[in-house]
Amino acid sequence: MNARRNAATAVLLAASAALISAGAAAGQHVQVLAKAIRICLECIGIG
Amino acid sequence: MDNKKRTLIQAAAALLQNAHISGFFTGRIYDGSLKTVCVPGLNCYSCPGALGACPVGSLQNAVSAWKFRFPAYVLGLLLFFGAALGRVICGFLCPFGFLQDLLYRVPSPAKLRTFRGDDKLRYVKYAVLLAMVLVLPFVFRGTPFFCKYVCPSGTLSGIWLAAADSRLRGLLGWIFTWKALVLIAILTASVVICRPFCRYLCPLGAFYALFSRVSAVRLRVAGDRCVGCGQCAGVCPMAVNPVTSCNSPECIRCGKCVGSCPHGAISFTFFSKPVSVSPLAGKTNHTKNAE
Amino acid sequence: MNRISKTLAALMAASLLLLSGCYPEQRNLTDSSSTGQTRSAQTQSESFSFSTEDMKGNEVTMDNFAHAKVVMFNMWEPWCGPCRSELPDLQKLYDKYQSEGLVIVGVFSDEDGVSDIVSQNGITYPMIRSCAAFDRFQSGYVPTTFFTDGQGNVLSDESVIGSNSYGEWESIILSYLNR
Repeated sequence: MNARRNAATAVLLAASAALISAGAAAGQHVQVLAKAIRICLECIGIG
Repeated sequence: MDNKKRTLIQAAAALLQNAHISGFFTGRIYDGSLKTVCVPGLNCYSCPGALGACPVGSLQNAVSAWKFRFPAYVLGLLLFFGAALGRVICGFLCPFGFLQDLLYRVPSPAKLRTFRGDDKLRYVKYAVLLAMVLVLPFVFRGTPFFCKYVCPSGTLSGIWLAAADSRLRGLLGWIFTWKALVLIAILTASVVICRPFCRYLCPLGAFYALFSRVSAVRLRVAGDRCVGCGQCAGVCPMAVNPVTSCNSPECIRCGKCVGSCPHGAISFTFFSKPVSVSPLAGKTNHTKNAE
Repeated sequence: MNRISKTLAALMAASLLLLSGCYPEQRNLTDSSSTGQTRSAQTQSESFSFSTEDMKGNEVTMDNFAHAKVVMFNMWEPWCGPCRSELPDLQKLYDKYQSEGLVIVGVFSDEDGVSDIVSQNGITYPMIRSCAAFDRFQSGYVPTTFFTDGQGNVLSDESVIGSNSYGEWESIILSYLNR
């Protein structure tokens, strides 16, 4: 039972690595940066 | 894992995620490339000290982009955090969770572990995750609903920004007033109930909760050592019974149960191998003492 | 063990504190070779000039607006909902006050969706890509708007932060047009 759970963990971790790589390859990390360094004030409830 | 150590780790994590100290004085946020990466806890990227991007904010932004693309990068990061640590992040690494923990230490005439309806209210955070972080931003593009209307971390950041940057003060409107009230309610409740935001509202906690049974770091109760004394359930700040609900989605992995067990029955595990054990455990303890 | 972890944590905290002072305050989204610059008093002193391109790839500089009395540079991003929602109002104001010498110029960094938004809102005023020259007017917030005259002399003491209603923009624009 634990072996199955640990296998699931491993699969999820591998999937996360794949998703991060795919997203980075598509330039999504630059998008994350762009929206984190210039704040849309109304989007955080100000203005 | 005694609580002093955990407090130290929480403080270090809060500091690490907000190490852009100059921002607190200038009122200008950090705009360097570290913000390409999301931090694991709830930490608004408009916090003048924030060094990384907020995972919840980034997810909403990705979902509400003008042209929708599957948010592989942000989801991948969240999946990594969830699968590796799950709600250990809540217990050790989230700055806002830390704030609530500190407030709970403030003496008050009442300290509620639980109350009628507490268990039903826990489901609200999943609704917050689904509706305010995913569905609404997707339907109404360009608006991160949770950030805009609820997030107390953002409210704290906004207060600091407005205090340090006079140009912003004229911009504060009714939404900010609403969010300030939400913040005050959460902070006040935190004195009486342990971690009300984490229990009922936090969409990030709701997301990580989904991984409780499969995260690499988990808890384990050794059936042969547990005598059913209930000490662990008595100390749990989230009102979880670690024995009957081991690895409950409500468990924030603070480790108080581990430290309270007189027989060392509860331990943290990493891929099912025990990694820490109660300091109270007596001579009968055979479990390896790896930390 | 406890003392060691405490000391380590304290050292980590101290070094982070020191490190944080090294982080550059400014960063240009579009020009990777630029170094940090402070945006303090520069806003007013130097006259503003730039060289960039519009969405079709035509070169655009301050000279393109030499005929204008007031140039309103509206720095926005397509992912920012409030930025998008004020565009129709800006277009109306441009239509109304163009004959009095107003030019509104939209400035964006992220082009994802810009052409769709522009056509959907019927934007006819110039829409150009941001470049390093615009950094000094950035406030850290979006949208941010500043005003110059046709020769690039900066008119606004401070950039206007955030989106505004039609009426609010109109009174701001008139205050510059009527100087």
